[in-house]
Amino acid sequence: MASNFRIGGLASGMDIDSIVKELMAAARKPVDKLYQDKIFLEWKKDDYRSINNQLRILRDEVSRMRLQSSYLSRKVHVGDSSVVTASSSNNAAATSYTLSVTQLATVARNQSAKEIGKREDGTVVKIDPNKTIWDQRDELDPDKQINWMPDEKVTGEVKVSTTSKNQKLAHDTITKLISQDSENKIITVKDAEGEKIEYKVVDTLDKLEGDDDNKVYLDFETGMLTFSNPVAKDSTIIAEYEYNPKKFITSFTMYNESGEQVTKTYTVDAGNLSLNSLFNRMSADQNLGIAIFYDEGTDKVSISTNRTGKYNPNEGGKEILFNGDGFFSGVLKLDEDNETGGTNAKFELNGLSTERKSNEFTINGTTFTLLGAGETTVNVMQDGDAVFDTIKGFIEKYNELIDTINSKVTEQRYRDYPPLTEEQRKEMSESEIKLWEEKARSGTLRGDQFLVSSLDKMRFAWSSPVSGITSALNQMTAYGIETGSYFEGGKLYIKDEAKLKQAIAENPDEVLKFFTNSSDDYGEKGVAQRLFDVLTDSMARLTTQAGSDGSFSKYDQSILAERIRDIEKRIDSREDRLNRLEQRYWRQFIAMESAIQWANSQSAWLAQQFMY
Amino acid sequence: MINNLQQEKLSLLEQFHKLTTKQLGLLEQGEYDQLLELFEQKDLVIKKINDLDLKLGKEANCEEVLTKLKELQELNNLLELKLRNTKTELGVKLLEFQQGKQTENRYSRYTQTEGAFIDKKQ
Repeated sequence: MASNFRIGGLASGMDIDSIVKELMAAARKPVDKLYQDKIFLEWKKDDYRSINNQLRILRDEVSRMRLQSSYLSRKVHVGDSSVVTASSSNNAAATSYTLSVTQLATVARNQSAKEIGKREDGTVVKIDPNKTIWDQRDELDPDKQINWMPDEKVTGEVKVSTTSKNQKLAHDTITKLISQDSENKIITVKDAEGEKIEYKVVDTLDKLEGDDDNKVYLDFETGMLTFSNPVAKDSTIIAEYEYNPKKFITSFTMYNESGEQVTKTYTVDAGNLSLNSLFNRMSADQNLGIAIFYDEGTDKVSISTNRTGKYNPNEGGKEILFNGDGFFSGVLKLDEDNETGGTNAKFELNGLSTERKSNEFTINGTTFTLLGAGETTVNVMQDGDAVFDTIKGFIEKYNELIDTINSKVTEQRYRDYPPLTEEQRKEMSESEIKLWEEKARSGTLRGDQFLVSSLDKMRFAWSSPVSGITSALNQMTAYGIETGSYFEGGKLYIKDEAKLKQAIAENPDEVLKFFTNSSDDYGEKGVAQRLFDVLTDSMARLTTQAGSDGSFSKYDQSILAERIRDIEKRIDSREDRLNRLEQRYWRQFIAMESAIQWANSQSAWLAQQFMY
Repeated sequence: MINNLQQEKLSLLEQFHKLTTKQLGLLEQGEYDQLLELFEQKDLVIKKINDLDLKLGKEANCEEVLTKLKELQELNNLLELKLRNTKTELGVKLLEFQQGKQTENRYSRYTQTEGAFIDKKQ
């Protein structure tokens, strides 16, 4: 709203636009103050949440320190690692073992007794492991030992997708065409409107020529149909027939944990599978529990169990029985008598002779993995170094949090540097803004009562004795742990590492209780339990103050969020008022100028009236 | 003796008088928009008087008319004075705002004021 009027009388050279802008700038001051308050609260909220996140991280560490397993670390020493390797869980018994291994557990293995392609007369037929079994059934099974599945009968309906004389049934290897009329075999075609036409089946292609009868030739091997006239698209070919599914069932027998026989059967789709693809599938099938492959070099098949050990309860009994199966025994020439392996691991542990089906076993929390025959010792000991490192690492993380909180509650607050308004930012350089905001943002949590209280409680958790433990060991100083200098705000240090290590070695139970003791009584609680409670409580309080990271501003019900929303409402209200005020001032100024000019003009006219 | 045209002029001057009196009242109430409307009406009256003066010529002002003109002149001077005073009051308000800006300046270190009525240097 530019104006050309000058306001004289009070001062010269006044510009209404600038006057009103300055006027509004003055009136905006309360709004700017509210805006700055809001920004400061938002910073405070962010800082609270950041601290809360770090409390959560430390609490996760404290959770681990509450667990007994953190103080029961074990290490294992093996005399001869070519005989065995060993590892222990934290609950493993600290003890020594002598181990003497006489035999390892092995898988059961077998292979073809002869080349698969070799005939009785000595001739050798080349087997292609990538060609379907059906296509080379004569080469693989000249003696017809495979027990093929019987023909399947079906009434096939095939939808025609292209108008043509040449169509195909859903199957090949048709063995028999069935028709109501035993004299003439019929295939029916139903057109798109449902009209049916019967086609007489002829036995040669040339018989399709000639008279007007509807005829069709069927190639039984391929299932291909050649009609005497084209069959229209969307027609349906209906034929009843039997076909060879080209499948057979093969089986072998193994033993379960209880020593009972379990027969495993497998349906082989010979029309679609080659030897290689079949063996891949069989090896991948965990229910079968075998690994099998064909070796082109030797023209033999190798089969082995996936598991080690002897499951057949019979002395000298085999693990994989083929029972004269036509495929395994006949085609693949596998003979049970040739099986090797399938043995249990045999060893003596601390003088006790025993066996295992596997080379890996666990005793008293220690897992042994047998590698070879021989004798060795295995010592399971408390890993004092690991426990020491756990405690030391925890104290370091604790100190990090103490540092962070202390720095925030003692951070300088620069009240002469409130948050910048948008107007102020426009008139400052980037570097000036950066420097200003460093000071403006400082001290959001200075002297914060929640954080100071949390620090006090954490210090108390460490410093007050844990009852129920030997008095000589119920305080942190007994473990060489002390607070740092006063100005460090309660940081802890292991000032006597030897003391802590000695306590871990000689009084592991006391160390455990000092940190992990659980009780409803504060005095009896271990330090880690107390810290967990303090951190949980502190996190809840800060969440009440500032919400959590996942809170959207609209639904954040925290105290600071409510205060921020209140300020925003007040800002909106003031902004409305200022806008109205600005408009009123403009009207008044312009009206005044107009009025004065007008009055002057009319005065001049009055003066001129006296001239008549 | 006052003739008809002079009488008519006198009536118009009376009208002008009433309008000016009303303006003084509105000024008191701060009704500045209505104030301007009355200036417009006064301009219309002035136009009518000017038309009459053309007809009246040397007889435009008789004794009664002159008396009225003097009254109007005094009244108009009063109006002008009050207008200036009102403007002065508004100016004082501006100064007060300016002072208000200065007192709140302590929490806005950056915004330094230089006085409300000095032209901003571009």
